[in-house]
Order: sequence, then C-alpha cells, then structure tokens
Amino acid sequence: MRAPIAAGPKLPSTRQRTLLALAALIACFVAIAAQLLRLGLKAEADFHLNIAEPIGQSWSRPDIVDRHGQLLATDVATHSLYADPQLVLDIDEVAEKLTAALAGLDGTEVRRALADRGRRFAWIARGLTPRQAQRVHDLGLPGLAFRTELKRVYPLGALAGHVVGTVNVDNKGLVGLERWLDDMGKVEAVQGTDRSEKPALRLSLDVGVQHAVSEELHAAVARYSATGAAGLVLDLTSGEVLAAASLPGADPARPSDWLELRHADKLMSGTFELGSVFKTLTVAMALEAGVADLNSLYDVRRPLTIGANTITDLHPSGRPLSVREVFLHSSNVGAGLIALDLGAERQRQFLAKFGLIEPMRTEAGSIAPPQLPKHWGRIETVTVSYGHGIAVAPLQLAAAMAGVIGGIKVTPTFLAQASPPGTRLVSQATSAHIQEILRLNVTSAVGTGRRADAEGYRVGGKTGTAEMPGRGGYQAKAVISSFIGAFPMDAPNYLTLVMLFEPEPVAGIAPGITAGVNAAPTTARIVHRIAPVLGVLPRRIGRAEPTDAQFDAPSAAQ
Amino acid sequence: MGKLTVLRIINLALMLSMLVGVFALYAIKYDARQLETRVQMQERDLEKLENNVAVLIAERAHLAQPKALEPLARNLGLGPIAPRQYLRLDAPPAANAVE
Repeated sequence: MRAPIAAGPKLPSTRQRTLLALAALIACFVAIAAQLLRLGLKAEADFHLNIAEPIGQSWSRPDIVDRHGQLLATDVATHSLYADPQLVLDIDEVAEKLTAALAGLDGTEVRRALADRGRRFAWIARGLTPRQAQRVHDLGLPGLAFRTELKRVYPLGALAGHVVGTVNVDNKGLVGLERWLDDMGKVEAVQGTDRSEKPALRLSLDVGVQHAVSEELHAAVARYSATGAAGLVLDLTSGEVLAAASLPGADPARPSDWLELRHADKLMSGTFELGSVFKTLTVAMALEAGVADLNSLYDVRRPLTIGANTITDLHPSGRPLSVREVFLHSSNVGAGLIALDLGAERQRQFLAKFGLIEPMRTEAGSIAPPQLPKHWGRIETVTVSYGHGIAVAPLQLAAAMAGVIGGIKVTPTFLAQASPPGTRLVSQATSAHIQEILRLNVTSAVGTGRRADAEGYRVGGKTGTAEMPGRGGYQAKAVISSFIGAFPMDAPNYLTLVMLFEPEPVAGIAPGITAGVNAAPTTARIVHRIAPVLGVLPRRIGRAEPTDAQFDAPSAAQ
Repeated sequence: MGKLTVLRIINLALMLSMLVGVFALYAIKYDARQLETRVQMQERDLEKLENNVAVLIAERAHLAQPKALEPLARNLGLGPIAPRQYLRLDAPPAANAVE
C-alpha cells in the first residue's frame, strides 16, 4: 500500500508565473528607461581620469617688461625632441643623422642617451625652432618624437641681462629677477604649453636709458681700452633703478655666462675700493656732525703720518685748504684730517647710517657684503675717508650717495613701484652743501669732474681713481676710475654712476688714467643722451649740440 | 482580447522603445564625440594661435629694440634731442636763437 503524499504548499499556476516573469521584465525595462533618461539629461560623466606624467614638466612664467611695457622676457612654445630607446632601431644611424640635422648637438651624448634600452624616455634636444623640428621630422627615424614645451626667450638679448637673470632648461629661474619670480611663487608648473596668465612683472628699468648707458659704456671700453665697465642710473626720490649695466655683459640666453668671473655683475656681485668718491661721504659726515663747515681750513701742506704709514696727495697744495677745496682738489690728506676730527666711532656710525656696513639685498639677488677694516683705528679712519681699506658693491655705494645728495634714505629697487618715503639721513642744509660742492667740482676750473658737464643739464659729481689690488700690493697702472654724479643739480632727480676698469691713456683725449679724463666725460655723454629721454629740460636752450671734441676738451666747463 | 495579449503588446512596445532609446543614445553620444573632437581641435588651434601671437610679440620686441633701431635712426640723421632743439614758447624769438 502506498503511503499518502503529504500535502505541500500550493504551487502557482502557469498564469501566475507568466505574470511574475512579465513584472520582472517590466521592472528591467523601467530600469533601462530610467538609466537612458539619466544619461540623456546628465551633462557630463561623473568620473575623471588623471594621468600623472612626471616627465616633460615645465614652468610657465609671467612676462618681464620695462617701466614702459617694453618686453624683456617671455615664454614661447618650442619643440623638444625625445626618444624611446626601446623603439630606436639603429643607434649609430640616429646619432649621425641627428647631429647632421641639428648643429651643436653632441653625437656622443645622443649615443649615451639611447644606449640604455631599459628606458622609455630620453631627452635628445630641447627648445628647437620649428624649422629644426621639421628637419628632424623629415628624417623619419623611428623611436623619435616631439613634445611642445615652454621656453623662455629674451628679445632684447644681453641688454640688462644681469638684472633680468636667466632660467634653466625646465624654465625655472636661476638668478636675477627670474629667480625672484620663482621665490615669490609667481611661476606655475605646467604640462605642455599653457602660458602664464599672471600679470607681467614691470621693472623700474627704462629700456631707452639702459640702451644709452650700455652703448656709451661699450664706447668707453673701446675708447680707453678698459677691461670692463659698469653704469647705473638711479631715481633719487623713489630708489628705482632706471639702468644698470655691467660689461662684459651676461646674456640670459647663455646661462654659462653666470659661471664666468669676467662676466660677473660688477654693480652687485663684486666689492671694490672705490677711492675718492668716499670723500663726499666724509664731507657730509663732518658737516652733519658739526666738526667742520665748508670754509673750515685744514693744513694739507705736509703729508699725513700715522705710525709707519704716510698719506700723501698727488698734487700737494702749498697752502692750507678749506673743506670745499679739499673736496675740489680731492686731497687725501685733507679728507684724512677731516676724518680724524670726526673720529673712528662716529665715522663707523655714519657709514652704518648710510647703509654701508650691513649687507644689502635687492629683488635681483643679494649684493656682495661690504668688506670692512677688521680693526678700525686711526689709520683705517684716514684710509676709509678717501675710499681705501673699505670695499663695497657699487650699487650699495650709489644708494648711500643718493641718500647724502637728497638727504633721504634711498632703497634701490628694480621694480616699478612707489616706495614709501625713506627716513632723513642728513639735514637739508648738509645735502644742499653736498649738492653745491658736487656741482662746483664740475664747474670750477680746479674741479676734478670738469669733463662731466653735459651742456645745459647741470651735472655734479665726484671722481674716484682707486688702484686695484694685485700681487704684492696695489698696482699703480691698473685702476678703477669712477664718477658718481647727479643731475640736474639745481633739483637733483637722477644719480649716475660710471666705472671703468683698467682704463689706459689715449693720446689727445685722455692724458692719464684718472677718472677725470675717462669716467667723467663718459658720464657727460650718458647724461647728454638720457636727459631728454627722462624729460629733464636743458637750462640754457639754443646751444649747439656738443661734439666729441667738446666732451674730451680739458676745459669744457670753464 | 485577453489580459495576456495586452501584456505582450506592452512588452513589445517597451522593447521597441528600448531599441529606439539605444539608437538615440548612440546618436547623441556620437554627436557628442564629434563635438568634443571639434572643441579639442579648436582649443589646439587657439593654443597654436596664442603661441604664434607670443612669438610675434617677442619678434616685434626683438626687431624694435633700441640696438636695432639706433643705426637706422642715425642713418636718417636722427639723434638725441640737443639743447638747441628746445624752444621756449613764452620767450621772445631772440632768446631762442642759437648762440
């Protein structure tokens, strides 16, 4: 007998199963329709693909322009050639064809880059011109490809090269204002050729003035067979540097220039004993401290002896000289006596006040720190009074001189900016006296700066001729001749500095090597060119244009 | 007409609409891809033009630099403004005479 089947749950009918399947299907369709609707309405996908590409990263930099907007540095897209060593078939063929197509490419370097077959990326040449890139492209070599990247270009070449500075192959700032841009975070890392959208960096430099200074310095180097030169034009009120040139110059397109000592920036990266221009500071100190006035007499008839050292004058005077005459005759003995009246401590304090003791910085980098006497005794006080035994960077001395001439502390800047007014350095009376003797040094028949007078533009200034230190002491025939001046002297607006390194006598125009016959006339030539550009009106109008003969004439200002 | 037939029709309609949807989506996606390519091409052209402009600006600055212009200006007999070229408008003619 069969056991009865236990009654289980009731199974759904065929109809119910069909309905269930249909319901599931409808649900699927609804889901698909919903998805379609969603995709149709949604504008963008909700995922991003980030591809990290560490190679070929470059930096985009803002343009650099002069105070009037003239372009000094900009980024352009260039082609850079790279290779995938694994895809290169014949290394020798590639190296040979590439060196033939690209002048200056080192074949051994190419072979070395391609030899490592394990690598997938090796730079071959960067910053190619479109024509060079086309030539390489036409070779049709496998394993080579191009990437476009930004390259810094300097349309004005070496003009103001030291100030602008330069970048490395990745467009990263190395020196000068290019370095400053990096330090200030004004550059951006980019892939490809996205140019910077940051506003251009506006410099205080005036390309017209810079060019005039640079050209006149080149001419002076040729005329006086000098080994180098430097020139500066500084706005006395704002501290803005309108021109800063140092020869031999540095070309931003050739970063190797910065590694060569002879191309070093003489205004900022070197310190020099600048000689008699320091007498201006000595007189200013004496006037400000009240130890003397312009008419106080000093007995300069005999050499000044301190211990074993004897200080003499080039042309000893047969009578006592007033402070004014000490300045005009550029008497070392007189300056020494004034400094002794002042004392070492006060001299040091004044130099510190003028900013000549502490290291200085500008946007274009640090300035070589001053070299000061280790022991500041009587002999050091005397030598410092006429600019020996103390070596400072010319830009730092120019700033101190600007402070003494205008009476207000001046902080040199390479950016076009209205700096806040500086503190008063010397009284108005002292700066007026300094202005008077600086002008007198150019207009007086006995002044050492007579040849600096640029017709109508009221130049004033002080010469300095310092023997260069060499093996076994100072060299009498190798000097740095300099002239620091200002114009127009009735209301000084601009300071000029001209330095010539190892100038030689020139028959007919420069009988010696002192600053009065080379740096002074160079200043006159510069002022004659830049004064109209700077909007300085000549006082006496209607004069004929000066000729070369007039610039070099010994009695030009008499 | 039974209930089952109605459901079959619905099912068919849904299937058809899904197919239409698929085609429509494909068409839209295709258009979008076309547009994207066009945008990319135009962006590339724009970048190229921007770079050309940058090169031209740099070239203009290079050609118009004082070092290049000075010899040309000197050739034309030009030079820095000389004091004799300034005239005072408020002064009598004699004051402006060249000495």
